[in-house]
Amino acid sequence: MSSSLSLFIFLLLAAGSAAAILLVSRRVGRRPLTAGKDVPYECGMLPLEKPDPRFFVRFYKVALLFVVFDVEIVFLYLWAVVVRDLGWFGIVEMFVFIAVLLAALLYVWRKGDLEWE
Amino acid sequence: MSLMAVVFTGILLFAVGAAGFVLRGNALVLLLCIEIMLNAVNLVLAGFSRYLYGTEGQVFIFVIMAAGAAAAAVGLAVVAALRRRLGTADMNRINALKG
Amino acid sequence: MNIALPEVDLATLLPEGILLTTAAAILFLRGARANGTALAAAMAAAAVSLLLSLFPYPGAAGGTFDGLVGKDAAALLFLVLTDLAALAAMALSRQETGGDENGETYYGLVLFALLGMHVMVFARDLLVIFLGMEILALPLYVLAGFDRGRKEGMEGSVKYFLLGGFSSALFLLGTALYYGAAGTTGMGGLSASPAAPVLLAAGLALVVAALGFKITAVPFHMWAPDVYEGAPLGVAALLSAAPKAAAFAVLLRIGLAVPGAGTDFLPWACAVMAGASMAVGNLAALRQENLVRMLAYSGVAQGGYMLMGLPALAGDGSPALAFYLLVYILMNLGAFAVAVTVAGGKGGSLKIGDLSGLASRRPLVAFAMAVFMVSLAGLPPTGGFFAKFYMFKAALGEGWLFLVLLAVGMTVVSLFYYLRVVAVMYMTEDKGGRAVPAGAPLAGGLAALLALATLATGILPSWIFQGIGRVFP
Repeated sequence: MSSSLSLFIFLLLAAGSAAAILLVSRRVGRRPLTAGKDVPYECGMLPLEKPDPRFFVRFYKVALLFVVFDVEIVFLYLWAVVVRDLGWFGIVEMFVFIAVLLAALLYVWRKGDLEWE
Repeated sequence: MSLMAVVFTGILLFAVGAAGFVLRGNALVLLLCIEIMLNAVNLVLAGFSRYLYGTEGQVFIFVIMAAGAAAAAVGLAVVAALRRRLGTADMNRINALKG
Repeated sequence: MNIALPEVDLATLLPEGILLTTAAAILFLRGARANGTALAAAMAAAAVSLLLSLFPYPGAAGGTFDGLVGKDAAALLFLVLTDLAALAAMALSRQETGGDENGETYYGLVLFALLGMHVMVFARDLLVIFLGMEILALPLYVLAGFDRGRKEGMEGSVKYFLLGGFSSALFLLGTALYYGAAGTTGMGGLSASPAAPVLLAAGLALVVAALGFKITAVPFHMWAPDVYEGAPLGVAALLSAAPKAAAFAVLLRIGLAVPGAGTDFLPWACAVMAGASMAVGNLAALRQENLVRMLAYSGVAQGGYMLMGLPALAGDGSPALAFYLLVYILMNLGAFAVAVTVAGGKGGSLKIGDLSGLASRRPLVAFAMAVFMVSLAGLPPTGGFFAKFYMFKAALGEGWLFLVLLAVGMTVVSLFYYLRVVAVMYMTEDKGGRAVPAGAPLAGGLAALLALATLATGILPSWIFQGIGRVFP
């Protein structure tokens, strides 16, 4: 029970200090803010363009494909830990798994989503 | 660190994600909130399997991560299509459907 | 370390293997005739899967993969129901994707969704059920926005994705808590009295809430009208029936598997959701002008009637629920089939007023629609009447009198909007209206077939009900 008590005190401290910081900065800070406060860097170069440029969709596409296949490959690590004990069954299973992934990759290729231009 | 600490942290993290889901409007931010919630679940599972039941729960985490990545891929594609079509991803401003 | 290999009996999963390989193959189709080939192949695969579950081959039932997967007679029945719904939804999608060159993607995704529903139905483990829900949901997110020409479709798709993702997260948190309480994610882990009943109850409550999203139970129904309206009609038809069947299969499994401490709140939770769904669904349907939105809210209300079966599991709740689902699939998909035949490219923005004078223009279609509406309202001599009759009887038998009274009251309310459709078709003059589209033979034929089936369930109800009852021990 002592651990949940300490957790509770921790939470109270965290919430309290967050609230205190917000309150103090609101009290002490001067309002309204000047226009210069909205600039990313208050001194130095002025920004040349907006900070959220639009990227080409194909960046997203490649990134998404990478994420999906990358996460699937994680299962290879789990498999590698026990492959000795699984014997032939494990090997066959993993090839089936990879074949399914390959089918997905083949589909992506066929749809032309791996072409950059 | 005790089991309670890990599980409570996970549930708090889940609550943060859920609160963000309810309060925010941008579809991409909502997607991020869902990811926060999934990772909070992973934390809870890791806690239970580390302190109580052994490795089984840690395998679940990989399954959840894989499913979450697939969902995020579909979701990002859908949100990107919406944004290209309507010029915004703010769900509070998109309301052609109601009734 | 020695690892006991799971017993793998692939023969049990033959229908799913067929669905998976067909779905994957369809995605690779290409060329001018890809649309038609994809439709034919997808429907053939779903039909074979339906027949394999309806007339089980030796080894069709059984459990494998260390008990993660188990097909019993009840699971086979629910597989038949999901296959039936998907088959009908694909048949009425023909019109929708007629001029679209992406037919192979459309039907491939529908088959993947069907595969996900299969997994949900036969899984015996919450984590496998989660995988099934994702396999079901991911194609549907895409399908909901398949009609890129309509921005309502995009919007509905994103809304569906976000709320679906939220419900998945709830389901997972529930699974994690369940795992914490039971030490397993399997359904079997519940027979013993759990060490932490509160944790177990919290986990199951979250799981049930997430399933509530799939069956559009109040308060988790908000997405349904928007998504149905924005989606192609075929997808809306699929969404309105098939995921409900799969989610009810899971709910039944949970309800039947878990007696004892930490789960005694489930009947009450289901009863509250049932009552709320009936009230909200019916009252909201009253003021809809859009036919698809009206059907969406009607689906919410029908889900409420079906939920009544879960508190009555000790009695005749499960066969009553399965019978209701069967009739619901027939009549609701029938209503969507009629909508497709008269929509003429209008899709989800079809108004109830657009049906005016349909009786004089296309008497057969109007008659079919009248059958579906009368059945949805629960009037004899259609199947809808007997579905409600068996359901109310089962609930009464378990002492849920107030729930039945509420259901009867709400059924009376529902007469107004269902019969209004009939009145619009038969009693208003055709104001010159829109030209009748040059026939949608597949959807029209499907509407006729489903109308006959709806009538048949009203003529032979006890025979069908007893057949279904034999499935449940």
